[in-house]
Amino acid sequence: MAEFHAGGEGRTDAWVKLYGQAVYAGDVRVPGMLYGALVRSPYPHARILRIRTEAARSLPGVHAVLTGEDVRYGTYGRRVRDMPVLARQVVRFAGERVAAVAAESPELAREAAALVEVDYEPLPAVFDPEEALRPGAPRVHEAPWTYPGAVTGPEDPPNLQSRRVWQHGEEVEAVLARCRYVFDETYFVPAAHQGYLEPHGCLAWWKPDGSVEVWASNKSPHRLRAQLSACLGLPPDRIRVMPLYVGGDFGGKGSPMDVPVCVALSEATGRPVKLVLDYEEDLSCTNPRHASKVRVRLGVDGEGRLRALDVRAVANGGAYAAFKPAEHVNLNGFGEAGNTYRIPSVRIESLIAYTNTVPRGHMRSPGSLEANFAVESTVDAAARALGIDPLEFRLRNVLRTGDLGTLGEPWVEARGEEVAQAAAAALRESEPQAPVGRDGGRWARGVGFAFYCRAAHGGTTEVALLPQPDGSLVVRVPFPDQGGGQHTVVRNVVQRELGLPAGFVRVEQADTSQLATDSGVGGSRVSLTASAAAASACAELRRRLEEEGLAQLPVQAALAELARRWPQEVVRASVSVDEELWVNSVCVQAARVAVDRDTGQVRVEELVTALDVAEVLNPASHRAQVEGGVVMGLGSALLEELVLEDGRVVSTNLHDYRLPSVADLPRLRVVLVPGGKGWGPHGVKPVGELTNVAVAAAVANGVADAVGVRVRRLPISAEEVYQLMHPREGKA
Amino acid sequence: MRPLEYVTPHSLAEALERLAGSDPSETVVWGGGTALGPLLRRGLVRPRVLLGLERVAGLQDLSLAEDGLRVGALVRLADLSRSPVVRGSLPLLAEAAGRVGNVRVRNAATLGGHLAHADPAQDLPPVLLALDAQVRLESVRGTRTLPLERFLVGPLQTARADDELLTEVWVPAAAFGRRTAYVRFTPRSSQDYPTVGVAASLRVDADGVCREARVAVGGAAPTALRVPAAEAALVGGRLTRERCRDAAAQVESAVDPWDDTRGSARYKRAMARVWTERVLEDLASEA
Repeated sequence: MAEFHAGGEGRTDAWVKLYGQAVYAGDVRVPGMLYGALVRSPYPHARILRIRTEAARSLPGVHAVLTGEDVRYGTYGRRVRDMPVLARQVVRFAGERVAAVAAESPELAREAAALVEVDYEPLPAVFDPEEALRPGAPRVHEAPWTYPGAVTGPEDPPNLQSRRVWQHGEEVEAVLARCRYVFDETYFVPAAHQGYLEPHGCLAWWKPDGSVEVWASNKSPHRLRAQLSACLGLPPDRIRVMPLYVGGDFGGKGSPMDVPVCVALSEATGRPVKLVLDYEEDLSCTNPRHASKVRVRLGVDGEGRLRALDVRAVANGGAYAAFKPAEHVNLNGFGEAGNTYRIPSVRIESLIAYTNTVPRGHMRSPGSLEANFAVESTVDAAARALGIDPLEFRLRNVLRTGDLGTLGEPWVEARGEEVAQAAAAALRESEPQAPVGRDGGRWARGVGFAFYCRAAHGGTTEVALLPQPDGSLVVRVPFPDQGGGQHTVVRNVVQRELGLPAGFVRVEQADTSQLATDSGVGGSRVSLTASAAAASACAELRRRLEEEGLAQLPVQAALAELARRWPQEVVRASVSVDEELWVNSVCVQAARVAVDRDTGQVRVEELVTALDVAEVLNPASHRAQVEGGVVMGLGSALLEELVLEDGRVVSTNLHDYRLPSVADLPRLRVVLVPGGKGWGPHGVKPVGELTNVAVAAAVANGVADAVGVRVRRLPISAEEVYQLMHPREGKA
Repeated sequence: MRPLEYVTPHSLAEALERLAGSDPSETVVWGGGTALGPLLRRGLVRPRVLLGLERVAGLQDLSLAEDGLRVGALVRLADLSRSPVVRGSLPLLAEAAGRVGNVRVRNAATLGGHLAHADPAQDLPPVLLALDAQVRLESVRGTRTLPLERFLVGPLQTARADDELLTEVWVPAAAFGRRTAYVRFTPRSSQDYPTVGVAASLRVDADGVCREARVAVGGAAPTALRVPAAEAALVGGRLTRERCRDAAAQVESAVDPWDDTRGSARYKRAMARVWTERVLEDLASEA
């Protein structure tokens, strides 16, 4: 691992961020630029009767006021193209874009937007996904299967966005019927916001030559270009997405969001137009996590072995499916249900419904936390009901190297047992903390475990190497660094491959015209694909140096000479990993929890995270991913819920939508279990979406251990624990 | 666009003149802006003039005299929490001020603004109720002093007339030297407003008999609330477990909470009882 330390160099983005020089969407300024603002629907479902824009247009300094009728582009989406650039005739969620303004200043744009008058006729609305799937429910769309990319048909319930079933082994009902014990539990995970620092923002410039330049808080520039191409009806080579830092993503920054409407404003005015949401708009109108209800039926035999698992999830997809990128337009994390165990019969079904609420998108490991909270809580409940220690119960059933996965996956290894033992050992080392307060007896203590396993996925990317006359090397990559540290990973790989000292490799993000292909940041795939592409580009560069007879020179001298001979020299390599890798990462988390017997308050005193690693490309970035994930998991476990009332988001500020602060964190212990088998030339395992997943189940299991009550809804609140502990006092 | 003017009078007289001559919907007093700022940003308050008080002499003074502690309305909560004068005379007030919100809020928020905002879940109203605090209100018409419980009228409502300025908070010396405690119960995040806050101050004789008691709760009624029935349950006897429990039961029946993200009304009522009992038992066991 040591050779990946880059001689005291920190992350590539450290100094620019420290000095405030990193450029984000909100920082971009182009001469002649105007500012956009949006008019949004106050109704979750309504017919638009009339829009009056005269007052807004008449304000001096207002250059355009557009409604859906003015926009000739198509709908857009990451997979299903069902989202209009501006609503036409109907609005389907409170917060939907109805009109857009471009003006000389942001304040003026907002003032003009407030002057746009819209008459609505409210329509019957549906907010709950199960209700939405029942016959006779109000229809969110008339014929959603007709949208490009739709995965449903006219025979499906009209509000179905997606249905996916995973199945392996003998028919699950038959096996459940034979099981000595069947545990039947239902869990709920609410909507949540990704909580990035930077709200969505973009700048679009429809240039006089008919080409479009775009700056956007978007983590997948090449996909953005393709999505815009489909929406705008322009060939991709007329659209250029420019390099930009992204201020946090966590799954929320992968869509065009407001870029199409910004393009429309720019085309209408002939000026560049910038639109930056305020945080209130971002919280209530973008693409938060689905709320999911998950029913688990777990069959166990007389020896305490898991025999069958049936999982049925119903998720709230909101008014548009446009923000889900996966092939099945589903949340693939549900397919991981139970995957750390040997279970011979598994069936998992995930339904996603249209409702008249904010459209839903991805949040760090989409579906995984929902499935994990439900299954790992049920496994824990089963162990307690059977009088078996929950860790022992898990180890009895844990998947081992050589076993097929729950869906038949031929994993190269399965290290659940080793990782769990490491977590348990770390927990034993730390003594329980001293009782809190004068009356230590008020705190009941417990320990909860939860296991998680995540598959590595491939993708496509490209890297270009540009030797410089001073002997240094510029590395162009097609993806932004949204905070994950992927530019640093590329720098470290190139340094190691070529034997270059610190300071001789500079990573730059290309615009979409400079490199051909990239599947963007996401799916915990970038370190894997980018390190492979970088290694392959370095091999190509070494071959070029040999060709030129420069291979014997010191590397810097060779690069300088190559740059002198061929000033335009660019060495490129791309990788496309589309096969299944069968590499996974295992994470076991253990929470030491204290519960106040009289108030239900839950304090996590310590959280141990043990994870299976192969080669670590950058220890600091790796650590940041691991710890950041744990903190995000704690937020989901204890704090975060995007509250909707009558279909409207009511947690519209960061006081009500509470993210964990440093003061709220327990002691975090991270245990790396080395020796795993990764993928590619550097033996890489994914880490970005690993450690946020099992925290909620570990904490809930700790609560069960401490006070014997089972929390089935996130976030775990003091009041709910109190009510479970004092059932006779009834519900509020 | 409505232009917004920021006016900074140089004297109290000038500030009061300005207030007297203006429409209350047009002119709003600006202390630290931690409460008003978000309201302005969201368009819930739409004034034309912000009256900034930072140049008015005397409003940032903090003085200890024989009759008690006087705190100018513009003293920041961070200064209140760090002041040796406050820490020496009323350690509870310093400690509670140091736990409001987070450090960024405390560096800006003023005591006067904190009280005039009158959010029922704030921390310092119950603390100051338990310390018999009075507020001084000044206008061109004259000056009056009100006990804090008469100043707090309802959610975001006070007894301040439109032309009046809250200039000072006074805690009488009689409140010094009591056994005091405040608990802010924040079961989610330490930066939340409390689900309930409970403050108490007790004067206990050497023989263990409670001679004076103040019990106040925040977050559980339309204003921070003193509970005389709970105080009566404590005075005149030793602080037994039963007395503490009786007082807590009185609090539970006196509060009038509502449902919100910090808890249901039912839960807040139960928590007001639990934390009153705990606070009083802790004070009872102090030597």
